[in-house]
Amino acid sequence: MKPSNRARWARPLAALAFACCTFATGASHAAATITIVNTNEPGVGFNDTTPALPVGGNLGTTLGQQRLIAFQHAADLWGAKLTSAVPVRVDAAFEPLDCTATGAVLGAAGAYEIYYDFPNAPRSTTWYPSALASKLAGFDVTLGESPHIIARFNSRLGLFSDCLPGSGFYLGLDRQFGTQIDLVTVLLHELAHGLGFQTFTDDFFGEQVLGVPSIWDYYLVDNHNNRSWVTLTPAQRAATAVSGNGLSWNGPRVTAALPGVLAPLSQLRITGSVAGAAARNYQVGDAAFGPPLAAAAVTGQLMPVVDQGSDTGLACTPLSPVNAQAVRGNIALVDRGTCAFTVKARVVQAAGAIGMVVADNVEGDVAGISGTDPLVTIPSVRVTLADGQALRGALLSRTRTRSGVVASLGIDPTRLAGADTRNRLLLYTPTFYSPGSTVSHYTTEARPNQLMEPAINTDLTHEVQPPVDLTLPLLQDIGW
Amino acid sequence: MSNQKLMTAGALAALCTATVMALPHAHAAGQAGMVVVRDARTGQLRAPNAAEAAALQSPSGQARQAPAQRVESVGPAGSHKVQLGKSALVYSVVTRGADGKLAEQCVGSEQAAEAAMQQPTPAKEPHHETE
Repeated sequence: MKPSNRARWARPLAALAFACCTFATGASHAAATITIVNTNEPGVGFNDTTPALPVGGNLGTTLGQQRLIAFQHAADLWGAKLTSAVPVRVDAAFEPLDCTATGAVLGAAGAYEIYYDFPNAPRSTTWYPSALASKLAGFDVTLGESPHIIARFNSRLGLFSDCLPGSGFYLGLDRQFGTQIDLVTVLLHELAHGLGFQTFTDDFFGEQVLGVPSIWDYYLVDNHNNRSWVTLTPAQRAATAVSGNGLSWNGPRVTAALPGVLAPLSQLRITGSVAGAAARNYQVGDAAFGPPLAAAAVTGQLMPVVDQGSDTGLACTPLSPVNAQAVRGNIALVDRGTCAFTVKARVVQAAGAIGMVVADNVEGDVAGISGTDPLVTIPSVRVTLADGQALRGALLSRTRTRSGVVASLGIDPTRLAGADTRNRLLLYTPTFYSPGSTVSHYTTEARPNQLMEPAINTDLTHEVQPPVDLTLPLLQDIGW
Repeated sequence: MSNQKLMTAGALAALCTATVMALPHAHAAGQAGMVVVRDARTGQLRAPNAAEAAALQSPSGQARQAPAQRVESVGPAGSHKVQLGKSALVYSVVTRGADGKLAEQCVGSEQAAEAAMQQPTPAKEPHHETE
């Protein structure tokens, strides 16, 4: 960020609202009022007078007006779902943020202050973000002196050659963002963080703020031993943050809503007399293309694609006669790499395969498969590198058309995609540390994709509650 | 996946098999600090290998600084307050991959946002890897 353009968050709120706003701020009239306080100087950001044509229901006539309308729209979507007698103030600005030609900071938001032991606090000695503390107290705990949430977004995005040219914010309200970035979706995500979808405990060291836990922390449970995060030592908390699905959310609202939101857990089941130690159920990543796995499993011999003179089977080009014979009527095992997943699926499908298993080519946790291709009609899944090696090891003594290793692509009806074995929603705790993403987001294994995963997916709607999304139940769990 | 991305993912994967340890005195301002890793297999502390060192030298791999010291104040109603300011901001970052597709992710600090901006698509995010 350019120092000269840093927002002056510490300014008294009243002065900001009076001096900086050249465009009237809006406010919702719903169960909670969330007010966007425009902190931009005249002529820039929300006050940019560049003419703009109406887009996607956004009728602002200048770039600045459209930005503010989109902001207020996202705030109103949240305001309609929450209840509070105390208006939530969001100090907001569009300003130059870090950019390159291929990457950019879209924006940021978060709670400005945290409080504990305020009047009517449900838990003593527990940090709450100021917007939630005000709701619970029944009055503005900041006494009007500070914003509850601060937000700043990139004013240069897509508009300059050094700031992701051609990929600016879509300011429409209708999700028809095409190749642009849907501002409302990003705002819904970021505002949720500011409303309380985050821990204030350091997720790397496990240290609480001044030794006081956050309300968030009471709902985290180590799913290996069912101990609450607040009862763990800092070192234990830090360990759970990189545990690989070791932390779950045990709030009652989220847990009750899970079955109506999440799809059943997909799985690859391997059987057969020659499968040996490879005979078991495998965790898989789902594909965004092709049919989803279903109760009626797709079952066949697992047969590898083998590239001549190589240890891999990439399936990026039409299969050789030998490979085509192997996968025909069977489930193809291919390796990740070189070409798109959809290309691999089309290649093995063209050869007659009835399903595809992609083995990862780097170590790590199981992950999903992206891509879009309506012509793919067979199911596809992805397994880890280690699991792929185990599967290939079981296929060594095969004939040209049979392996004796039977693969079944189906679902586990007792499990939900993104939940632990007790059907509690998993938090994002990959085995590598991801600063700020870890702990304060939902798992990326949830299906359908959730608003509060660390990756903001393009298939998200603007819905924040069941049966589509689980963000609102979590906010309700912590007190909203 | 590009070769560069593969290398990055490989280095991170190597780093993930070990725990990074920055010795206590290494946090002093202006000091390079001595960094060791705990080998996940043996449990022993050792110097980072080349891949781990490279990952550690990348913006996203830098040893984390200790949490900022917070200042608490007590209000008239007896409530306790800490002003987080910008320190609790959560950042959304977008990168454009070699295939032209955009990938958005959410990270928790300005430094992490800068690092994420320089590194295309996170190595382990589902629904964002196309190959």
